[in-house]
Amino acid sequence: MDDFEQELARMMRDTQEHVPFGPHHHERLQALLRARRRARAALMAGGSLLLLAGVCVGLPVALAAQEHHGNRPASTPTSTPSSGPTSGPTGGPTDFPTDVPTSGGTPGAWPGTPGTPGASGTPGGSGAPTTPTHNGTSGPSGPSGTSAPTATSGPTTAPTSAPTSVSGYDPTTAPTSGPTAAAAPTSGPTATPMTFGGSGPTGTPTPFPTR
Amino acid sequence: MRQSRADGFDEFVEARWSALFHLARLLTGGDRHRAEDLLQEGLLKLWSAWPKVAGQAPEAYLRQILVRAAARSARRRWWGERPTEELPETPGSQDLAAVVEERTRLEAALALLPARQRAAVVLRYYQDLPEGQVAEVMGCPVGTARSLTSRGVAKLREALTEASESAR
Repeated sequence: MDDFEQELARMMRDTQEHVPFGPHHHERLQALLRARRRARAALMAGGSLLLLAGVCVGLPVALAAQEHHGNRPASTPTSTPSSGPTSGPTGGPTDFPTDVPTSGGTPGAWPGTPGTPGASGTPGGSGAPTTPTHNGTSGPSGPSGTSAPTATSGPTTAPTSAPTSVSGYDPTTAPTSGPTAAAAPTSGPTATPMTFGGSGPTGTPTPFPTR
Repeated sequence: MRQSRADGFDEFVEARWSALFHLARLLTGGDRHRAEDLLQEGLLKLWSAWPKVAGQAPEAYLRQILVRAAARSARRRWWGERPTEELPETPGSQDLAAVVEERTRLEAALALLPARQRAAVVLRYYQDLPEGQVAEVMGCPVGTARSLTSRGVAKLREALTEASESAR
């Protein structure tokens, strides 16, 4: 430390003015503290209100979402068994709802595909215009509802013909419906192969690769 | 609860007010109003943390608050100052004139420095802190603190020399 630095340090210390902590300092500090307390209380109150508002808004939305979501998984677990050959009866109807809502226009293509097979398509075709609506509505609400009879009626013949009811509804027309099913992915690539592949493991091998 | 929270705070403020005010004044380059604002703001923050720091080193904590707040506040463009016709302070008696003159000179020279240089010089020469602690308080590397101090001292040397020459 040179002379100047020592002089600087001395100047800084010696020029200290004695300023007592007066009442006006005390009052001002207390006023600041009060203001800070008030601001914190206001902040807490505002935060609580915001939280309350968030809960009031979020809870019904969450409940509604859960309700909506709770319906969807009902189709998902039933569609999983649909891949199993034993649960083909239930898989048949439950596959419809997953497809019908998602592929809106493709149900036309989808029932059309079974519809084209002809005579077997007539039940399917008669079911086809109705089953999308049935399935679309009954799928989420009750897989064992109105569509269950149609489904069970399909798979009751179906344990053996379960794949055929899906891939073409007719073993004899399966070759023709096979290509249409293979062509179906162009019209409804996501919907139809999913159901076909899921419920028709033996029927058409082509939907599986396309899937 | 509130009483226990404030235990010792008032005593600390009363005991250290004068020294802390001088530190704040040096940090603000001699502006006593800004110094008072700075100190009040620092005390407010200290009060919030008082239960934690009361048993440790409240003055070091407050010093850090003051230094950083001074550096931050120096970046403000306008302080709400309004011109007045009256001078804020005049030396009261003749024997105080030398002290007041010296203080005025020092504060004028300090006011020429950038806030960080001023803080480094004040911490180093008024608070007598080692370089490492200066760096810690300022929140910068030791080399930066050393550089800020040496540049600040060089500027002060120049300014004070000029001031003393012009006084003659």
